Amino acid sequence: MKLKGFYNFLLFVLIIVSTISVSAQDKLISGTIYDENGVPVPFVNVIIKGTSKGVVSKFDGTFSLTGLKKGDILLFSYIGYKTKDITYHTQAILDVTLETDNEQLEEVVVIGYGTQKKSDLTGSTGVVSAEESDLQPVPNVQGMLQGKMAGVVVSQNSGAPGAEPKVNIRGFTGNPIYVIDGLINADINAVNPNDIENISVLKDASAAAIYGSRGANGVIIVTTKGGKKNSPLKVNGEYYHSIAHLNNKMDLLDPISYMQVANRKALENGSNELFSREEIRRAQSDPNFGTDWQDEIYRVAHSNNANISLSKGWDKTTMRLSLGARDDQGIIRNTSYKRYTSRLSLDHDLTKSTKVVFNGSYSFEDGLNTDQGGQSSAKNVVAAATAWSPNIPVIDPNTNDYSGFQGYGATVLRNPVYSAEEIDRMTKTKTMSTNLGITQKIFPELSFKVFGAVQYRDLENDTYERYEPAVPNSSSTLYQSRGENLKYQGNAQLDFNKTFNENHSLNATAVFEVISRKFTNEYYTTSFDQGEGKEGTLSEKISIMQPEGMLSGLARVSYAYKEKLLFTGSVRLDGSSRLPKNNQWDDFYSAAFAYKLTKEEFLANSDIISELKLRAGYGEIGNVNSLRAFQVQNLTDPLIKPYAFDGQTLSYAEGFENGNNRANSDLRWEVSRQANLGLDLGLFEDKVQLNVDVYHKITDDSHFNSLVPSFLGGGSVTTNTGKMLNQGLEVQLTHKWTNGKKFSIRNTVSFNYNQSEVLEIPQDSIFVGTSGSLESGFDRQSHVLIKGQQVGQLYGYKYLGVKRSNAQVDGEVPGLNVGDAIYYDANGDNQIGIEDMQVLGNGHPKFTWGLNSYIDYKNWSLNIFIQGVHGVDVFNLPKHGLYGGGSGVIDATSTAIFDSYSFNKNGELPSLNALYRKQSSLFVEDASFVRIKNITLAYQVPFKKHSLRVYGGAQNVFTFTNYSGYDPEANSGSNLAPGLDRGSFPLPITYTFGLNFGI
Amino acid sequence: MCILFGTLSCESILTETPEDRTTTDTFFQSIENLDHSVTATYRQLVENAWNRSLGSAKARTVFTGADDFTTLDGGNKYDWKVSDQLNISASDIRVSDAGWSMPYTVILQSNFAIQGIGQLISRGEPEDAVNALGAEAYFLRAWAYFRLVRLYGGVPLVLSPEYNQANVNLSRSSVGEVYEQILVDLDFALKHLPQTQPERGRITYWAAKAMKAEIHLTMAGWPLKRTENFALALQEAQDVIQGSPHIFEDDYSQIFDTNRRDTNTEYIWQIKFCNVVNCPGSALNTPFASQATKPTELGGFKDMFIEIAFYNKYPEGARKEFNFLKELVKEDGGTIPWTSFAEKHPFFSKYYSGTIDKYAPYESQKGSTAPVSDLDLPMYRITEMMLIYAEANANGGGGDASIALNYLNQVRRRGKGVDINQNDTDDLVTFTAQDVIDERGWELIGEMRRWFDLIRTETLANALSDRDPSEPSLIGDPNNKNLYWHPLPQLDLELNPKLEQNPR
Repeated sequence: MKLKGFYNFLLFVLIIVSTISVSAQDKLISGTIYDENGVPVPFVNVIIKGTSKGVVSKFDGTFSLTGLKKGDILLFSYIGYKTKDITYHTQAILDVTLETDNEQLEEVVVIGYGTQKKSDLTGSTGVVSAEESDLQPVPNVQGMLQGKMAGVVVSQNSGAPGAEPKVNIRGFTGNPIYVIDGLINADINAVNPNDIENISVLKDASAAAIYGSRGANGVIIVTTKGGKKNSPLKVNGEYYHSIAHLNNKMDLLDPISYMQVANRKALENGSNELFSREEIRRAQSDPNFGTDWQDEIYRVAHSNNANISLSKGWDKTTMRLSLGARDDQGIIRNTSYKRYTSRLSLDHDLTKSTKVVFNGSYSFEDGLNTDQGGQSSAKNVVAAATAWSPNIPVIDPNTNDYSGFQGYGATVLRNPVYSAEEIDRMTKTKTMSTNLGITQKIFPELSFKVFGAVQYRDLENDTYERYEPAVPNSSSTLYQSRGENLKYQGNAQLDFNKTFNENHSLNATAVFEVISRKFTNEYYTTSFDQGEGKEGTLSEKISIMQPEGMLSGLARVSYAYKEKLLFTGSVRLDGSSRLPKNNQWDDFYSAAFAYKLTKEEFLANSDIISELKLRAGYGEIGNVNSLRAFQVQNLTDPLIKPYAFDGQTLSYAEGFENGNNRANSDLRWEVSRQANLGLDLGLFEDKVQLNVDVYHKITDDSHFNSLVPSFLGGGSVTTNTGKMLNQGLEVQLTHKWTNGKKFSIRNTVSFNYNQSEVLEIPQDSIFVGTSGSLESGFDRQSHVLIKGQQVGQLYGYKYLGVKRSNAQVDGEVPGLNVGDAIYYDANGDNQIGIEDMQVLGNGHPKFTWGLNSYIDYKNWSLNIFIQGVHGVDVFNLPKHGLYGGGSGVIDATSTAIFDSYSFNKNGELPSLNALYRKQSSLFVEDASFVRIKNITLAYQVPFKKHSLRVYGGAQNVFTFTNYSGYDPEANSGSNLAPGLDRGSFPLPITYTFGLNFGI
Repeated sequence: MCILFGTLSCESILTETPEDRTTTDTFFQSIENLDHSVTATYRQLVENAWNRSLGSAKARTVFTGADDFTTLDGGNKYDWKVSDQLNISASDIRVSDAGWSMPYTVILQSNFAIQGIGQLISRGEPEDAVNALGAEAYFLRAWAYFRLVRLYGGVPLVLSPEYNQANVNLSRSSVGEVYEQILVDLDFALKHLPQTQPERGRITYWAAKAMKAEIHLTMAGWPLKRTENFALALQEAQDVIQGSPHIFEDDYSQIFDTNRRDTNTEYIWQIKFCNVVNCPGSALNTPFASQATKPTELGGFKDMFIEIAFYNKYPEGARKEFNFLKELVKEDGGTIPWTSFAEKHPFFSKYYSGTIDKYAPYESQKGSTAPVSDLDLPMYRITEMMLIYAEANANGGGGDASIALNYLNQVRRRGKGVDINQNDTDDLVTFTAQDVIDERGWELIGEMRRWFDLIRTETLANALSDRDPSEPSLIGDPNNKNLYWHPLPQLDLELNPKLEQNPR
């Protein structure tokens, strides 16, 4: 109501102002300004060329102007339209039609709380629009970014259906946030890439500082598609089908060889043979003996994807409605991902100066075992399929159930077929999101906008685990988790936009913002006895609630002098509920300059240089994203498991929360300061474009999980610890070439180099791992931070080779037998202990690159995307199992074991019973690779009115790597502890066939 | 900034108020909350079924240096092996996890519960009831420090649960100071604990008495050697024997029968476990009872089995027959002697009840990860009180020598399998403290006593002198008393530079 009153008041003021100007008339000209569709256009600047005299058209598009001399030139200009000049020759009435300036519209880039002409950008911002996207459809938004811009590294760490690629912007510091149609920190997986109009990536601090504490790892702004005004009903559709299969099967022992190797190991250990001659003879004569576990687990997977959208535009209103359905199978049996999306977008001009924008979406994601392979657990199917003994049948004929542990072979890992088929992790996520924005022009230069958004997510996670095979007392369990995430955001925004004297243009934005979020989760387990129709026993329900609130105020000013000197400055004040009261508020600044040399006379008419811009920026960004709720106060832990005082009923336990959430009442903001220098160069009418950026980013007071000594209960506590540096270079080179209309080529090469350094930490080194606990079989955390070294260092024992003779090698401990593994005794105390561990490699790549090539010939298009990742090391953990893990009951399954000392005195591997330390360089591999990621061929059917395009393509076609696991890219880890392959879901080769049409 | 938004909304948006969770300073509203935090303290004894729990074989990695258990000479048994070889290092984190971290989580939770006692009394909750519950927390804290002081010597005395710099930088207290704290805690427990509890898993007054007897017995030996404490140990043991409802049973095998877990009269304190049907998702199981202590032939992990010399000198009789798996029965009626087991060692079958029938053909029980055991484990038994009485008496702790001798002979007769009340040909006429120590070794095997007995009597070297050459060879010297205490974990030394490492 208040808004309406304010609006009426403004209307009144405007009428008075225009009345005054009319009453002062001398020689009068008046008229109406229309657009191409005959719709009147308000707020058009009408000035007399060479003077500052002029008016602005009213709401009905009319204008009138006095004091004209014959021969004066009238300039009609308004954003989005081509400027028109008309000479005055005493006509009294002048109606003008403005043409839409498509070029000018296209160049507008979303920069957060507003837009800016691309040529006016001062910060480092990358843009991808729907038109530029690959010929081949991508399943998710992150995929649209892959290989599109320097500084943005997209890695696909899992081949599971629905797996989210990881996006890192400028180094490996954390996940960027997504802003979808104005909603900050929106959930990206619920978005259908088909609905996306364009994506802006704010890479440097001067650009991202506008998001203050949210922008530390970069900001990805997603704008969804809408309708176009005065356009007929348009129907666009898409369908594609994909077929995927395992890329490279591992070379494992056949059942007979396996049994022989196991026997050999037992004999060398002084034990009896595991398998008698008779058993082996029987196996040899049975052609169906044994199991190829990889064949049991992997399959050829089919996926379907269909999208349809309707859009239409009227005079004042536009709409777009879209529906999408996706049904993906994974190449591991019993894995799938389905996603149904719908989205409605409405724009309506309430009045000439009032515009309403509405976006609403609903999506439903339904995943089955989509985390398969990622977890480090007994139920990891990928690891089990390579470690399980090939002589064991899937089904034990004695029990008619899955074979269980036999007393040899994989001790911890469960029967892979059991784990794949009888454990169902079902994740059902519903995401509803609506937002409404109302923009009111107050003056031509000033507008006011209110924006409200609500996102609601319903998260349902169920895990059903059937009772374990061959474990008589075990029961089936159903774990159920119900979560809700409700988020509100409200903004009030003022925008000011004016050009003074043609030379000075000023753009200012001020925003107040409130964000409130509440996450609740409840979970419980039901156990079922074996047998039909048994009633379940329900465990105590546990619920968790995490609120978060943030208040912000921000302002940004952009100034351009003669369109050649550009400045942008911003300030943002954030208050976060995550921090203790006395540290809740902090302010963040940025400033950036750009100089367009091509606007200078000496370059304006250059035949060679079509664009040359230099950019420099500096910004300060905060971060609280890594903090959880209640980290500043000690809580009790309702998750402590119960105890049974009487041996049959559980007594509820709740005590002091230790674990990984110890309270720290001194927490402060993490602050990063980043400087950026950039160059944009266009040659030969922009046929060649080069963008180079260098950056230097220091993150101070980093939020860091410090270990709590185990005499205080262990676990970890978040502290402001240390200082990190990330600096790097990103280069993007685009080359376009066309031969008339028939043939054209566009190549884009992007190159990213990032170097990190630990500048300050409380101790000389801090050990970090991906989770609170150690990797299974590890003696300490997998990674280390060392002052002066890079982030992501893998840590462990150095494997020196096989003990072959009595001669001692340097760093060998005494007392080894021939065939033993030699590990480096770094401190020379004649014992191997964790003090002997050292850096074994680094889990972050040194540099990455991408080549995206488009070739068009007549109606044919070909797209090839090649990616390269170099200088990265990975802990290949399943390999430990493949080698039999040395001594103990596990037996080797890999054919590589014939290279062990037991079979080959010159072999590279120690003898079968030697100690194969898991956390050693023996299991660290170079995971650099070059991969032909995409090849697609498309054909545009030459219809006049409608459009139809058919295409076929392949993904992950060839990978050149020395990595011995399934896939060099498929590994998990955190930014501080990257590069752990625990048996990740391998990336398949995928063949896709599809079509798009438009009616 | 707040002024712009209005102070009220500012306050509410920027404050995180837990709804389902409680901050520690507002947790203790009623006696029920104290019950929950005491339960959380008990839980720490059995938390992490495979690695830390008293029901795990890993929890026994700190004791494998004694002469009773050994392990495979292989890498996957590394943690038991380094202990068996007297070669534990500061970086053997899985050993320190069981020996060091586990008792400290008990201490963390008991410290929190103890904070609640005062808070609840000042809130007007019934003082007697609050103290009686709180006494269980005091008992458990004393238990944890008693375990630590025997495994590591003087340790940091942490008496509050918070993470703060003062706690992080604690130095090690002396052995005497730790015992002082243990006795203070135990006195509170004794003052307030009831003589009987509605549930068998809860600590009673008699459990606290029993532990006090063991504490005094230990203080009388190495390293404090306060021999005057023998008399105190004897007094406490005598109180339990005479005053408590616990009665010495006449059949050894019956004590550890899972069906009699709630009716046997021996147990003064037992760790309760619970099967997955009654207690879903709570992982209250006892891997040490069977999965970890089964031979390959039964599909076991054979983490620990019996040292050959120990088995050979173990006195023959019903107890030996019950405690050890010496052969496997085959379907065809034949047997496989332990010398032909894959590990070529006898196995520990004392806790097989409810999971393995060692007299049934092994083939039918082969090829599976065994049924998960939920057998209760003894913490204090009346038999131990009789043996403490006898040992203290032999060491000049007073009491009646004939009663002491009778206690010892009753234990021996039961071990042999004869009537406990009838004189037997193998009865001792006189006895020494060493006879009692030996008897404790036979009687209390698998009850986590042997290692402590050998170090407090400084007889580790003697016990290991006849070690069979087929066991993993000793690396540490059993005469080196520095090895009686294990090294503190390396990670804690790094996080708290004030901690001094035990010399090796």
